[in-house]
Formats: sequence, structure tokens, C-alpha cells
Amino acid sequence: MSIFRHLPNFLLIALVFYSTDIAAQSTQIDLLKKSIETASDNKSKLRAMLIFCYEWESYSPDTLERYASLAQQMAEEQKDEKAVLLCNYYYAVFFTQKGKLDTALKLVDKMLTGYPYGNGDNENFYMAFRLKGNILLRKGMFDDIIKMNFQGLRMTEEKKDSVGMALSILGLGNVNNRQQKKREALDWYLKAVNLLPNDEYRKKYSYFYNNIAIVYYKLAREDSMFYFIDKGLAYSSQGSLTDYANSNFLKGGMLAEFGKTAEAESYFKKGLDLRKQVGDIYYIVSDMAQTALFYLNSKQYQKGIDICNDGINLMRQNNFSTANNDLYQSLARNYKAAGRYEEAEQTMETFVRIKDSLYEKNSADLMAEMQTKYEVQKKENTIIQQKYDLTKKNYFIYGIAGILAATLLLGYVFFRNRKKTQLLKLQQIEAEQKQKTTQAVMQAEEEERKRIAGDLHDSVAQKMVVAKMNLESLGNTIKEMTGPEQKIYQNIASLLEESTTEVRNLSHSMMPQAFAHSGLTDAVKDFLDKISNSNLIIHFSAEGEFKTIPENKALMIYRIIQETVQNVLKHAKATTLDVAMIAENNEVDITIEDNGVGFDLNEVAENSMGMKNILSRISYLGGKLDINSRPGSGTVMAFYIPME
Amino acid sequence: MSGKINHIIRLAILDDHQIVIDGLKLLLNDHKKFLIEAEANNAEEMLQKLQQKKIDVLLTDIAMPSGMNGFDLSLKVKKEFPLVKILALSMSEEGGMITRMIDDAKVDGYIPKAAGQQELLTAIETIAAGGLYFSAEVMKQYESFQKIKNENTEMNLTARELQIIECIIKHYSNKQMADELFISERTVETHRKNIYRKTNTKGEASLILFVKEHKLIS
Repeated sequence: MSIFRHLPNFLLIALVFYSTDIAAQSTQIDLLKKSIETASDNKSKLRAMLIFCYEWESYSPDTLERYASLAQQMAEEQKDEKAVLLCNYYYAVFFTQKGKLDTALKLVDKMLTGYPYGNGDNENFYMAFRLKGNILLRKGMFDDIIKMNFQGLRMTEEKKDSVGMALSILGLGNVNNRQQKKREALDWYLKAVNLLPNDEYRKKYSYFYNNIAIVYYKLAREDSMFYFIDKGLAYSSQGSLTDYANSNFLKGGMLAEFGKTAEAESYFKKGLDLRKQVGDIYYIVSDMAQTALFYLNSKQYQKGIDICNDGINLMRQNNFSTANNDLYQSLARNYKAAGRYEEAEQTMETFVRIKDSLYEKNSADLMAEMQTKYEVQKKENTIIQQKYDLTKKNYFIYGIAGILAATLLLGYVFFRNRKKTQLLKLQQIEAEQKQKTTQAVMQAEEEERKRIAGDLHDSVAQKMVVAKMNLESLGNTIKEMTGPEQKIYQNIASLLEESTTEVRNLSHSMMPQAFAHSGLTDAVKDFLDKISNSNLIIHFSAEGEFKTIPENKALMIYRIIQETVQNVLKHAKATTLDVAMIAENNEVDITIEDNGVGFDLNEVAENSMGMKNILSRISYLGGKLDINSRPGSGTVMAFYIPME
Repeated sequence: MSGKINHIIRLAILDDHQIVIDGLKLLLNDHKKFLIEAEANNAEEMLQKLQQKKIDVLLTDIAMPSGMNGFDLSLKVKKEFPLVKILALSMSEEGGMITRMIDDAKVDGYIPKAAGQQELLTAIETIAAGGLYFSAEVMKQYESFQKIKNENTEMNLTARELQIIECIIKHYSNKQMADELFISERTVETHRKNIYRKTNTKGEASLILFVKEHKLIS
């Protein structure tokens, strides 16, 4: 049985358990432990812990878990999210080591989202990226690896990041290698190696060379194989102990395959020695089993038996729970080959017994993994639930607050609007009331005028006329009057006549008689007749049907014209006056234009009594007034009175 | 043109005020040539009486509180009793009514009630003799009313109207005119109407032609 059955194992180890620039040595580990203890404050303590975790390949996974858990607690206390993510990563390493790949994958994904590529220091990204590739490789999810690495290649190419590119390319090579596409794997590996920018990275990633050597071995290319394993050996000797140990075992295995037993043994011994320096029992034991197989193949059975027993003792001394079946198998086969059948049989029995317990242990492990998974899931779910609840609660509170605010605002707006509307309504009512009062007063005034004018005209004036007639009749009967008597008679007669005229004029100015029988336009005309004289030429025109206008409205219009013309007479010093009335489209338009002195609109306005009367009458009729006047250029007053 | 003394003039008097009728009777009874044949306080009653009696001159008031007024009655009398002369006796002398009484009802005379005995007698006698009598006051009102009425269609453009015409010639819109003359568009429109009426034109084109013909604007 070829030792190279185990070569993939080496490869995996090489893939996952890379080293750092700092040489991982047990003394250094002690130093790191000390620096954690002596750290002055929590912050530097956390930093020291993370550095310690970084060196995880130099101690056992359980130790890693302990420190990672402590570091996580501290990171959470300090609310250092980046540190929490790093702790997650170390947990992922731990779970990978323990074969709990799903949990590891979840954690490494968290790390990748927390440390995206191209965001400052890419080392953390590389770490997570490679770990993820390894986890996927272990799970056999080749498609995902290919996808991931091509994506990585695109991202890193954009940034001209040769290290990132090398890692992505190496990932692609690994897939091909696993799928036995040796040529393709070789192409990728060689590309990856050529991308490493300097010796520092070549030391760090010395396993790149080992990978190439393995592919050449598979291709039976002896020269190239030894060339690359020697390169790997040379770089790893300056790198981490783990890598150096791996290279030694690989070289040993290759030498053994080509029959160089003595040389091979020295490499195995060197490798084992290095592994012991790292101090990870699991790998020490595993390497011991490999070495035992080498001894079996090279027929050095006693050496094989010895090393196996050493390994088993080492396991027992360290209470190493997970038994290495390879070790027992190697021992049994060495016994058998050496002819010591009884001991071989005993070993097999022990092996079967341990295997059973191992099986149980595995089940327990499975249980534990499921438990962990479950708990992690549960924890995450709880967190999500709590976050959701919190958000929900917040939304609820915001919602309530929002509704409350909106209600208040709405209420306020409503209240204000209502108040405003009420105020407006009140003002409107007041205005209406005022107008109604004005209207009533005007109406009453007109009624009163009409009554007085009627009385004057019908009663007083008539009686005076009759009185004069009677006087004249008396005059007829008195045949001869003396001179003074004649005079008295004449005085009475003329007084009566004058009074009649005055009473009649008074009555007429109060209420034009023309209204009763001639209508608005004739009344206006009569009015204009009476005021026209040689100093004022009046032009009057009326177009349209005025007869249908109700008397009260017509009277108002008459009064407006009367008032306006009287204003002209009083103030304008005009020589011409033009009054035009148009009745059409249910509207009466009146323009009164003079060529007088005019006035400043701002000064006269509504102050004069005449103007006040005009305005109140227009408002009573729901009409409009348009005044155009400037000092020195006459005045036009235009009225628009709706007729409906 | 006073009539002969021996010739009796038969009169009818209409007035809604009985006191006026009484007053007139008192005055006229002093003169033997007048015979008051009928009197009434409303037009309908008078029309009836006119059918029964032969009347030379009807003295009628114009304003009546109800029913037919003096104008309506005069129209009817002139149609139905063309031989009856009408003398309008009015308390108020309004150009409009005077014009209608003279032009439409074709009354024979019109005097104010307060005219006095002498004018009354002269008026009745003149009318009865086939003449017309209108007192000076009445004529004055009639003439000035005619003047204004006639001017209605004459061209008497105001200063503003001339400004508007200038704007129309410049093809301004109502809005532009309103802005230029500081008046509302509505007033511009009213001015336009008045201008078209006064110039007897129908629109801008005919107005412009009119303005050119009459050399209104240089």
C-alpha cells in the first residue's frame, strides 16, 4: 500500500493550515500566552488574544476554541464588531478542524461579509477566502469553489492584486486536482506560483510548490516533481514549522516511492521532529502512522511497531480521545508482517473496540455538532427575533406617535379652518347684515322721499295752486281796488306762485315725477335738462331697453347718476358733460364723462359724502365702478349694474 | 286771438283732486263765455261724460294716481272725439312728458296749473278758436328736451372717446387700451359701443373709414 494514498491529506493540511510570518514555535506560544496575562487593559488583552488565535496552527483546536470564545466575549463587551468577526473566523477554523463544515461555512461567510475585498487590509479577506475554499473542497462543492474563485479572480484582477489572484488561481487548481484533471491543475498551479510577488509570499505560501510537486508525481514526471518539492522544502524551511513539516513528509514519501529508503527515513524523522515542535498531538500521531506505513513498506517492521506504540502511548498520555485508526492499522500490519500474529490480532481487537467507541464518539460528535448547529441557529434566530421584535416595537411606537401627531395636526388644522370659516361666516353675516341694513335704510329713505314728494306734489302744491285760483276769483269780484290794495293782491298772488314753484321743484328733486310715467331714461333726461345751461353742454344717450328695470333699481341708478352729475357740477368746472347709458346683456353700463379739472383718485376716493352715497348704491345693486381721472384731464366714471 | 264774448265755450275738467276742479270752476264761472258741462276725477269717468255732452275744450291733468293718465286719455280723445280740443294742465313740467303730449297725443295746449288766471283764459280761448297754446315754460322744456334727444344720434365724441379712436386706428387690443388709458377693459368696451353709436359705424373698419372721411384725427 502506497504512502501516497495519504498525499491528499498532506495537501489538505497544506491548504488549510498555512502559517504566518511569525515562526510558530512553542516558546513563542508561551510568550503570547504571557502577553495576554500581562496586558494592562481589556483592549490590549483582546488584541493579544487575537494574535494568539492567529497562531492556532501551533496548538490544538480545543485551545483555539477556548481562546476564541474568550476573545469573542471580550470583543462583544467592547462592542468591537471587527474583532467579533475575527473570532467567528477562528471558530470557523475550529469547526473545520473538527469536520463541522456547515457551521464553519456559515461563520466564514459572516467573516467575508464583514471583511469585504478591497476594503483596506486584504489579509483578513484572504484568510477567510482560503478557508471557505477549503471548506467547500472538503464538502466536494466544486461548482461553488469554481464560482467563488473566478469571482475572486475578477475582483483581484481589477485591483491588480497578484496575491489575491494567485490565491484564486490556486483554488481553481485545487478543484482540477481533486477532479483528477492533472494537466489543468498543473497549469493553474504554475500560474499561481508565478503570481507570488516576492519571497515573503513564497515562504508564506510554500505549499503552492508542494501542490505542483504532487501533480508532477501523479503525472510521473520525476525531475519536475523533485525540483518543485525541493523548492517547497526550501521556502517552507524559512516559513512556518507546519509547512516545513509537511514538505519533509512529502519529500520523504516521494523518495520512498523511488526506493531511496535511507534518505526517505531521514525526511520522515525530520518531519516528525518538526511536528513535535508544533505540538499538535493529532498531527503528530497522524504523521507517526504515516511513518509506520513507510517502515512497513521498507520492511523495517520493528521500527514501525515501535513508532506505533510510541504514538499510542502519546495518545494515552494526552488523553487524546479521537483514536487514530491509521496508527492501530499500521501497528497491526507491522506485527503481521513481522510474523507476530497474536499481537497483530490483539491490536486489531483493541482497534475494533476503539473504533466502536470512536463510532459512538462520532455519533456523540454528530450530536454535539447538531447541538452546536442548533444552538448557533437558535441563537441567531433569537437575535433575529429580538431584532425583529425591537423593530416591530419601534415601528409600533413610531406608528402610534405618527398617528397621534397626524391626528393632532389634523385636529389643529381642522380647528383652525373651522375657526377661520366661522370667522369668515361671521364676517360675511355681518357684512350681509350691514348691507341689508344699508339697503333697508336706503329703501326707507326712498319710501320716505316718495311719500313726502307725493304729499308736496299732490297735496300742498295742488292746494296752493287752488288757493291762487281762489284769490284770482276774489280779485274778479272786487271791482275796484285802490293802489295799495292792488299791490297787496299782487303780492299774495306772486307769493303763492313762487311757493308753488318751489314746492314743486322740491318735490321733483326728491322724487322725479317722470319716474311714474316716463321711466328711467326720461327722468335722467329731465334731470339733465334742468341743469343744462350755456356754460355746460350736456350730451346724453341711452341705448337699449330700460323699461323692464324694476322701479327700485331704476331709482337707485337715477340717484347714482344724479349724485355723480352733481359732483361734476360742484367740483369739476367742466364745460361739457357726456352721459351714456347702455342696457344690454342683462346689464346697465353708464359712463359719465366730463372735461373738467379731474382729481387724484387717491385723494378723493370714498371720503366725500357724494362718493359715499354713490358707492353704497352701487354695492346695493351689486355693481362695479371704474373711475379714470387725472388732475387736468377730466374724469370718466363708468358704472356696471347687473340686472337680474 | 281771443274769441267773441257771445260765443259760449263748453268745457270739461278732469283732475284727480276735486279741490283743483273747484278752484278752476270758481275762476271760470266769473266769465260768462265758459260753460262747464262736465267734470270728473278719473279718465274713465270723463270718457263716459264726453259721450253724453258736447264739449269744446277738455282741461286735463296728466298725472293720475290710478287708471289711465292724462296722456292715455288724450290719445283716446283725439281718436274718438277729434273735435274736442285738449288743454293739458300739469303740476310739473317734464320735457319727456311734454314732448309726448305734444308730439304723440297732439294736445292743443299745455300750461302749468300755477300759470294764473290770465294765461288760463287766453289758452282756453286760443284753443277753442282752433289755435295752439303752449306756455313759455313748457316750450322751454320741450325745446331743451328735443335738443338732447336730437343730440343722441349726433357726433359728440368725448376726449376719452377720441383717445380710444386713436388706439383703434393703431389696432390696439382692449387690454392695451385699458393699460394705456388707466381704465378697465370693460370701460374700453363701453367706450367702443358709444363710439360706434355716435359715429353710426359698425366696427373698426367702418370706424376708421369714418374717421378718415371726417378728418377727426390728424
